Amino acid sequence: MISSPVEFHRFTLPIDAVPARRFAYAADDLNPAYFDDALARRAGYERAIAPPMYVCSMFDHSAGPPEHELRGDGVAPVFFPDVVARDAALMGGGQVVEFLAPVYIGDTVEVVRSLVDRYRKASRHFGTLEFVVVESRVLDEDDRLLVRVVDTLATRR
Amino acid sequence: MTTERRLVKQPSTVSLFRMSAVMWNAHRVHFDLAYATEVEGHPGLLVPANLLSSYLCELLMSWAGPTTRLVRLSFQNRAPVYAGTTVTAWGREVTRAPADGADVVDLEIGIDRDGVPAVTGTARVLLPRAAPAAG
Repeated sequence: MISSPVEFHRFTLPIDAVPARRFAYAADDLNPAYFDDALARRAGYERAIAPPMYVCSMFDHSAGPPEHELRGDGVAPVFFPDVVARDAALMGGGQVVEFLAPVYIGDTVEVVRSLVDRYRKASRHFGTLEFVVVESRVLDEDDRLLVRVVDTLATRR
Repeated sequence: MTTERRLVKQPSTVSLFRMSAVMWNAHRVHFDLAYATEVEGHPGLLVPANLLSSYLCELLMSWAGPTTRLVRLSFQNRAPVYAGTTVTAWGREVTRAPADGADVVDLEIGIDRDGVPAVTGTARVLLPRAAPAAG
């Protein structure tokens, strides 16, 4: 149990059209609201939006780190709090996402990631797992909360 | 009559690679087959959870046309999904109620592979009943 959230990472994320639309293509989702301002306005948005899971999936916006600083599984250490063992295998346990306002192509957001809980639980497929719960708050330039994500990460050694 | 919708997807190794690339995420279970199978014991490349949740978002955001607004998504990963597997994302309305010029719809959602639940959860969408203001 964690008594109060512990911030471990924050970063500025420009919502650029190319990576946001690459995310859409990678997910095989060709929603016109992601690609075309006029079609997005017809759907009631101000202009083109980022796919909802785009900001929920970005754990960092730096150029690095160099390869030798990555964990053995390839994950950048900054993606997760220090309590995640460096040699633990990682799997997504689940998410709770609140979408409070659209994230628009061309905006810039701040993503603040905090550790909020950790616990152990048995899994049918993988034995006993340690779970780490991370909250991401996606804020606009006025500090307005746009998206809140609570990620449960399952780890095993 | 309960409204249900389904969306069939087959996450390919190419989509896994592109998703990892755009996220700048080098987690090897998603693109390195030898690592995924020989080191972590998976039978194939593991489909990342955010790709599965993207399928759910696609289903939900078109629930009643392009003006549908996704409000909340809550899901748990129950079983791993591997590249090349055909999965079905589904949603089933549980309640629909009017509120402030929109219908608030709560749904059960999930993703099944070969009839087995891989993802289960709930969602809420808003269906505007009038032409929405921008935003």
